[in-house]
Amino acid sequence: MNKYMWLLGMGLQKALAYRVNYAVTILAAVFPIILQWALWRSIYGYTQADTLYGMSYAEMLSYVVLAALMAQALRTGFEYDMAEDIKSGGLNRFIVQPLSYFGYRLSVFVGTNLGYFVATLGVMAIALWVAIRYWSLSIDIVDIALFLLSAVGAFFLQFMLFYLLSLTAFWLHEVWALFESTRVIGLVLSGGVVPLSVFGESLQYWLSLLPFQYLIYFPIQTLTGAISFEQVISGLLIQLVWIVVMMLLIAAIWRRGSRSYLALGG
Amino acid sequence: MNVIEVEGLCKTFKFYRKPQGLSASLKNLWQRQVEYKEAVKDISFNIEKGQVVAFLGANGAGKTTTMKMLSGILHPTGGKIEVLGHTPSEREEQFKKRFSILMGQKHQLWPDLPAIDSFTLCQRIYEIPTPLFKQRLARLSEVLCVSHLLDIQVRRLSLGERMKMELIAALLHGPELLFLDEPTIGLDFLSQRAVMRFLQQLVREDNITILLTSHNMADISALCERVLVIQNGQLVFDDDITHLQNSLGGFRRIHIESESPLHSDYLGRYGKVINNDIHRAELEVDGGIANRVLQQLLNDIMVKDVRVSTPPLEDSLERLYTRRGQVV
Repeated sequence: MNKYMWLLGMGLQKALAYRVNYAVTILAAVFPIILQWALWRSIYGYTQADTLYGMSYAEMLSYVVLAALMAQALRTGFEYDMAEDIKSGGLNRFIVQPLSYFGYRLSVFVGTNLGYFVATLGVMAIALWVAIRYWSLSIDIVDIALFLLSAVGAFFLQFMLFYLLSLTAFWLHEVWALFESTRVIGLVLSGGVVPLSVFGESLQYWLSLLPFQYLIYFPIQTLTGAISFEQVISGLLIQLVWIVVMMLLIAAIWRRGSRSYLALGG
Repeated sequence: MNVIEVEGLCKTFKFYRKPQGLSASLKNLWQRQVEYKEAVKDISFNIEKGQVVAFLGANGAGKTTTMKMLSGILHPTGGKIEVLGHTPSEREEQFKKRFSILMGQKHQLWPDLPAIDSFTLCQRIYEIPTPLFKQRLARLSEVLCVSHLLDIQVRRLSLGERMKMELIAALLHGPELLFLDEPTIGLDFLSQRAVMRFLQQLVREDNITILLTSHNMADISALCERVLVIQNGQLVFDDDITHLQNSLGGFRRIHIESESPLHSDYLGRYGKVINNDIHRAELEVDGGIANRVLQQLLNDIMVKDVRVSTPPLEDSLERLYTRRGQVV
């Protein structure tokens, strides 16, 4: 068995050991969903509009619920470990052993999050069933397949994004504020709170130039059939391009960072 | 055959200075004092296969920095390094499989897992075939007497046991070259000796090359044949361990016990009085005149007992460490 596959298995074992922790985070996600539900119900009720920002009440409700769950599926946490490795010399181990740090982080991330990801997709399936049954959302089976594809892309894009962010620890001494603000801003810009159409067309154009919307907005749009098949295909391609661009950036920054890396302590 | 070849090695660190106080902190926000420290200055040496070499120096002299450059962790600012035919800073997989570095204060074992799990990870990382892995693990854990501790969480082991486990992890892939940075730090006397005996056996049986830093002179005189001393980033001594004392003047210590009182004024004529409590004194004299001084003393005083010794290694080192930038 390849060493990276073995590490993936170790990550999965770790995730299984923390399954109660996972259940708690899913339950915690219910609270903002209830908040959103109450908010949109009163907005639609007050304005008496059939559609707002091009979406009906049922579509809006489905979107925010699915987006909140998608945000859960994409959660990370390795960025703090990485910053610690860089700051306190934990990286030394990887430099002197025949093990790539990127490969190590990616395998452990995939291993740890695979369980969460699949479980969250399961919860999303339930939400979807509720949406179809009670909020009269219509879903095509092809869209579900395309969504799964875009969700896998989002999973890797999220990893690249936070890996890239963690590399700033080579130059910055305190990264906590940077991580947290990126997480919050990223959540909004990726459409994890409200659909991006709420921001208006010009802002939406600028957002389309950033990678964030390919994390949540694009996969959920794909799932609910809000965009055409051609748009989905081009979206998937752009998502792939972003992943490759991030990987190239990571490689370049890693080279520079590890050159200036001060192996502290010991 | 040379395992390590170092020529004109230099390393300069950039750092910032911050004076005490809040106002200085605020000032540092837009204007920082940049300073440079030459941690290693123009070092050259070679180490042959099978040699055990001690790398000595005071804290901050540049030992660890040099070792990190030899293992590829740090990029040198200047000079050339060749280790096992590779340039360490290129960090090639083939190179990494042939050496090991063990730092007394840095651990590679996962504290939450039993050691055996970390060893299995090592097996994966270094792609060690299972039969070979099992054979090596059995041998190492038996020699170090830790066979019964393999499946206990590492955090529950004593410091000495943990260090032995770290040694096993460093040796599982059969490295030809071993960098040890203070391997016995924090260990009790018994564990220190166990580790040293084990390393001696390893050198004898497997003909591996070891570069070792330590502040423990017992480690060094037990294991090493050659000593490199680094002082303020410069190599000030590189020779056989026995020459270390001779090259620094070859001092001898004369211990005298006498019936009559001993006067420091009198003894001071021959050399440095290390201590004197009237009936018992210790005198340090130049090696060349030790015989003459001894005869003179036997003539002058009612000597009850006399003994001549070489000063401890620490003393020679102290002389080296406090001598500034002067090459022996």
